[in-house]
Amino acid sequence: MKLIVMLSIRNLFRQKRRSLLLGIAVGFGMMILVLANSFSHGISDNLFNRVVVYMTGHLEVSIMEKSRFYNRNIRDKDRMIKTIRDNVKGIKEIVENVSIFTRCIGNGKNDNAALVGVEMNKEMEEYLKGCLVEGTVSDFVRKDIENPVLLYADKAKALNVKRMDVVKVRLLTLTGQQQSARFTVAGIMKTNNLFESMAIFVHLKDLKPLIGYRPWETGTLQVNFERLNDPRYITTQADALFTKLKPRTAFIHGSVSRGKIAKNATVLGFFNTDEAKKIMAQRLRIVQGALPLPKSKGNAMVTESLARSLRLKVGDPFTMKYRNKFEKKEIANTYTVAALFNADEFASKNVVLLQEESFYKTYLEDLPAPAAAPGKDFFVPNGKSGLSPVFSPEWKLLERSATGDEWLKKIHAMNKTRWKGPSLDVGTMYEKASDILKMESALKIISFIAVLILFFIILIGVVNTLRMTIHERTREIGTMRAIGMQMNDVRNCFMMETVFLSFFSCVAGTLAACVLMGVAKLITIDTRSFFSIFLVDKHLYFLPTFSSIFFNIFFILLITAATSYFPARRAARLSAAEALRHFE
Amino acid sequence: MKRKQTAITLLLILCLASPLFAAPPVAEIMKTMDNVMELEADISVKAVITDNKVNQGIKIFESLYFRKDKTDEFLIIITAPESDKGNGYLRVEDNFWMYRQNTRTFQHINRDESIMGTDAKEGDFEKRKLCELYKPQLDAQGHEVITEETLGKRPVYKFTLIAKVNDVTYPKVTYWVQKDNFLTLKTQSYSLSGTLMQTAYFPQWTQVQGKYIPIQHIYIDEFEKGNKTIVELSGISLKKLDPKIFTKAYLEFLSK
Repeated sequence: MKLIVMLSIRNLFRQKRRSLLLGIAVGFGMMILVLANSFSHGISDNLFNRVVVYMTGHLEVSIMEKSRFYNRNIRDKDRMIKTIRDNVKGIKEIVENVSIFTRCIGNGKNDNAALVGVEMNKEMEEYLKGCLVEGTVSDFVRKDIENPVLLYADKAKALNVKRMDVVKVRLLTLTGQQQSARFTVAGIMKTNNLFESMAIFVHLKDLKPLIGYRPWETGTLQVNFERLNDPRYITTQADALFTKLKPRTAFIHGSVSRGKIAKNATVLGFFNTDEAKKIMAQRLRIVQGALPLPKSKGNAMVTESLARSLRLKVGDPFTMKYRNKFEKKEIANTYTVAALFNADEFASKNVVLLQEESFYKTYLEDLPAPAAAPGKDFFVPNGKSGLSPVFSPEWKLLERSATGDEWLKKIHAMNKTRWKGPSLDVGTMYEKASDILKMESALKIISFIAVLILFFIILIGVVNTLRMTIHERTREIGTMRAIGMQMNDVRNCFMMETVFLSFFSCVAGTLAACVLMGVAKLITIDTRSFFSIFLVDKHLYFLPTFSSIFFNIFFILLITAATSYFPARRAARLSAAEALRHFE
Repeated sequence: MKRKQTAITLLLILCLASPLFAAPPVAEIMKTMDNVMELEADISVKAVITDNKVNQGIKIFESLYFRKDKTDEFLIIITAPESDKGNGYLRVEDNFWMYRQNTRTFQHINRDESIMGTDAKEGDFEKRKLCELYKPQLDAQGHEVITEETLGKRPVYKFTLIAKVNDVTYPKVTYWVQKDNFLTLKTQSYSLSGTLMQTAYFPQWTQVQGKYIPIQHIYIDEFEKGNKTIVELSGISLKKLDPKIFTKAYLEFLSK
């Protein structure tokens, strides 16, 4: 074998010009393949790790209220953060994502922008230091200027503002109310791509109250991991978190009063669905009145025992009070008795049932504090009773989705339900940005097919060259066969010659690609078009990977070996006597 | 002496009679305003919206608007310009859909989303009483603040209302209401932070079955200077509307 290898390598240098030309052709094909793969990989890496990850984090937990995607509010932020930390491993940070689209008025120019709430930490400081072109990080944290913000250069130009100018913004709060504010431009950053130019950074603590978030609430929670670019790990963590977020029954422990008489009671919400009505018909006995209609607001059902102790009958008003969790304030709501009922599940406990819309209106706005001392009057739902499917949960947990399409379908389906309560979704950036993965795959396939066509043309040259070589070396083959070389060895010798040539060409092509990538990266491309999303800092971005280069080399070697097999086999089958008699 | 007595008497009469000439409580005015506009009937009307946005020029939208007050349903079909013709909006119960003629699809939208890219929102077309949404602003002493003024030679009451609920677009609105018939001539709407966002004028009204409908609305954007929207209504009919009109199928049919 060692002899065959040495012969093959020696033969490469015998026809230098021919070998060089063929090698250049194969090397060129390899260079194009490496360039194309690196560029497509660079695009998806850029979009994923420099754009999408900042928009969604690696993993995102969101709660959408009233089946509206943009109505996102995690009412108990600390509880959710604790749940995430207890059940997800490898967390680098958990970030509050609060942002909103606004209309901005600058100096005689207006434009749309996205206000993004940020918290100053080491990473943010490093980022700002690297991209601020006017102003400093300390300007952004100054307390003597009104609502300091940071703009990208493109947005500053669009609004015709400079450092220390004022920008007025108009936005809608969580509840759809008009809000306006004044911001002072504390600094201007250089724009790297189209996405960045939309964002205006404002302190999270300034943005949240403007939109209507209270200190214990937030938009969504983004989790970033130490291990980047590992979809399987992140998806596994998301699945684990999902199983821990199954909701319990939502309830309020408070007091119900009429006049001077007050009794402890548990308030629950119930679904408006036909299924829920069926269960209630089986398990509740309505003694007076009727089930409140879905559109009726402020109507409640009360257990007979509670009604008796408060001397309530159908049509009477009563007040329900409870203490809220965060402000420790007493909340009071007035309802009207729509029906009196009994249910075995509640035994002698005092229970008030509200339509889900009425229930969530108070429950979400003022999350209840746990009852100081759950007494014998309080019913505690345990999820096991026959009526449990009827009761309003803390949230509805949306199923995990594997792709962007599935996620979109899920959101549309949620939107159609018009359910008044909160819906919780756990998602990773790979699902939401699966279109980027598809784009990368598509680009890879396109470049692969293009290079295959190129190689088809090159391999015609390989076959032709090999046939010429065999023709010229027929006597040599005859000589080798005459002195005892076997057919397989002759065949292998020719094949290995081609394979070695391809291998050296591939290595040269890869090196040429690296040089070209280095040169291309030096070119500055100053564009504001959609193409800018493919650039990093106005330069082309290539990301070659060892795995793709090795795969490409292996693939090229395979097809050159396959291509050279048939002529080599023909050469090997020449009879020694005939070969020796051959004259050109 | 006699003159002094006369003066004192006159003064006394004026003081005693002054409550008769004082402005009515704002809450009463609000109830009357709701009453003069509450049309418990079906209505169909042609609406022309002229939207003037800075740097974007003037866009004119024509549409047909059908409404059933009893069930609080409405349907809007755009008839011009050509690019938007056939698009529409339908509200039935809690559902609000936008229909796109080019894709023939319905999409759920929310009450605070814009209609045809204008400043009008779905919530603006809902039938909600002023008394349910707002309450009078009070001064430091807890009294309603109401003054009498003149607006373009017309005597008006001026008062400010504060939102009672949080799902209204403007949390604070100042009204100029005609003294004789309690029709709104002008409003100024403020954001949560107290910034003046919009001034609206209602210079023309028409009377239908004893109730009033503003047939011309002028909305001036006070935040983004230069933006203005004018809404003109015509062809008002109170003919009873077939319930089939307030269905997706009818909206699709109309858009063809």
